[in-house]
Amino acid sequence: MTTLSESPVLQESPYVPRFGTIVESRMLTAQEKFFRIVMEDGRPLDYKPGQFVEVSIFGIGEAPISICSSPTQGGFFELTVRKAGMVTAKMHELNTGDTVGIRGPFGNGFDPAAIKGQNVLFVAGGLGLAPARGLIRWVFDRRADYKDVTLLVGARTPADLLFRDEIKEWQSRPDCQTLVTVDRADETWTGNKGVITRLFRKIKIDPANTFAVIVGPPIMFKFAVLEVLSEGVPENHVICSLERRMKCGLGKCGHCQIRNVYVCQEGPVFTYDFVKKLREGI
Amino acid sequence: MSRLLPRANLEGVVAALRSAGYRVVGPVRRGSLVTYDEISSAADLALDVIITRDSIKKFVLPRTEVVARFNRDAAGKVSVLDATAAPQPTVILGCRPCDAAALPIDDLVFAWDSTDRFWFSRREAVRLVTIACANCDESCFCTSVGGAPDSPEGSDVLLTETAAGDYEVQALGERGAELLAKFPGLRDAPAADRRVAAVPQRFDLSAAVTALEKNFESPFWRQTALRCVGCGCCTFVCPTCHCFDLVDEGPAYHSERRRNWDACQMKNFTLHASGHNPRPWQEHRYRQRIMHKFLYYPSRLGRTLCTGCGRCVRACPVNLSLLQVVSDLAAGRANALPTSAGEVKK
Repeated sequence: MTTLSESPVLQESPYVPRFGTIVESRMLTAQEKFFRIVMEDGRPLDYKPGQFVEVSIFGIGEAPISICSSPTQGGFFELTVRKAGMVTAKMHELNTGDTVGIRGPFGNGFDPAAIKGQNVLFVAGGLGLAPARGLIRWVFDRRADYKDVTLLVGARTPADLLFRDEIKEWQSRPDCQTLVTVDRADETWTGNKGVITRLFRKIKIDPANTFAVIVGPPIMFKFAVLEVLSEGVPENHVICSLERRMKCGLGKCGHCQIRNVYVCQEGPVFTYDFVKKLREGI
Repeated sequence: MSRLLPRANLEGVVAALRSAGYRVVGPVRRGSLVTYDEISSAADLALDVIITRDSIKKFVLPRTEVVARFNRDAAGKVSVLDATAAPQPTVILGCRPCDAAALPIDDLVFAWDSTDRFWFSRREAVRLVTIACANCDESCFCTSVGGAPDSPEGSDVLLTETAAGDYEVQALGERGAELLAKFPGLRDAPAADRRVAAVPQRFDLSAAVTALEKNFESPFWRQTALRCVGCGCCTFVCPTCHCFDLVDEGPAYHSERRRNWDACQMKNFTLHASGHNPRPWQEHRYRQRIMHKFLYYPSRLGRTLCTGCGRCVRACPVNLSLLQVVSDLAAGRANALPTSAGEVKK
């Protein structure tokens, strides 16, 4: 039988993954592991922040994972993987030097050009910080293109907080306001306590010139949207990234469908005025 | 004048197609079921049945198919191997018009944005010799969704039974003419009376679509889907249902990636890794199937995702009839339900 490198047919097959090498890996929390990956064939993944890839563990299966890096940073991409099922559990056993299969990138991703020249408010809860981080890093790497940047980050407990070192770095930046809260604090925690929506009391929003990027679990999304809308941010300036059980990534297998939209193709990033009409969206 | 295939010559057709290198399949009896399977003689064909239990979908979108193979060597190095075998040239003899019509509808989803070569390589290898329906039953509703018991849609050759029991032959397109040239014993004959079932129109499709647009949140769905057990039977027998799953199987050192039939009626179909499920209840999943077929797919790809074969009506273990549900919608019975009264606390 011919192999991938010998068969042009196979190289074209949308179901056949390319190989990626893990060049950096570390645990972010007890449940989440971080990977930096470089494509083995030397052809970098041509991606936008907010897109996702299907990661293969050969013989175990595939899982859709958001890219958490920005293409402004180099010829690699990064993933944050929560241990939740068979594939992700196996991924947690992998380390620097190991190989995974990669299909994609899939989806529309964030459009950093569309929010240029505006204030950007990020509201990221839990694992939602991973996809949001791609755009956050883009904005910091092109900082002059954007006006005021505000980051609201929420986690269930201090131990669940992702990218703690980076968040500290963001907090020390003079060109942005970064607020962090946890739902349930412990004795070591000196920061904000309570759900992420409570942070809205501490910030000022200029609704006419602000885009709000909201990524997090459905319950957080519902309430965070209410906050930004009540501040007067227009619905088409509220940007969210939806989670779905993507399988093929090609708009065929049906898993990610919401009404007549394939989230793996037209999404996962939508504006709220559109998501609202989908009704089954959130 | 028309081209006629005497019924006695069906045997010659099977032999000719087989010697031309085709696998010939048709409706055959397997115990108490009638299913599409390979035949070696026209005598195997169960042409008296109205419709088979399963559709011809399995010849284009198999229940399970390998889309890639992986080898892992002793050092742990993985190589991806080609899994594409040329599909076997196949003639489906005795296909029904409602089955043939399903393939061009599904072509749309397998061709939009990117072309699915697994679907289209099989599609290319399969020829449909359809026999128009001389009879129908109370579950048939092709005429309600734009089809007909003698529709040529999707077929390569259409056979229509005459009063004398022979078949009037019609080749459709180049593929059909090429195939028909292989049929022995055709003769010209004066047009005879044709035996075609009178399938009554059961509902007004546009009224059903309007009702779906208005009733996403109607209590109609809960009331209707209460008895649905979520077995997915309706999707598996359906000629147009095409959702699939991708899974890896086999030992890690020599595994396969397979594409298997999946069903929107299953809870796990949309279950996220987080435990959140955007369609948590059966009513949501039942609504999805009806909405997808009659509202979403047509609005996106231009065709109703149903050919009226009625298989889901016959196969449902709890007698939850799609025909009845869509008829109810078209008759405005969902609109009549109050939207807030009778809410059940979940």
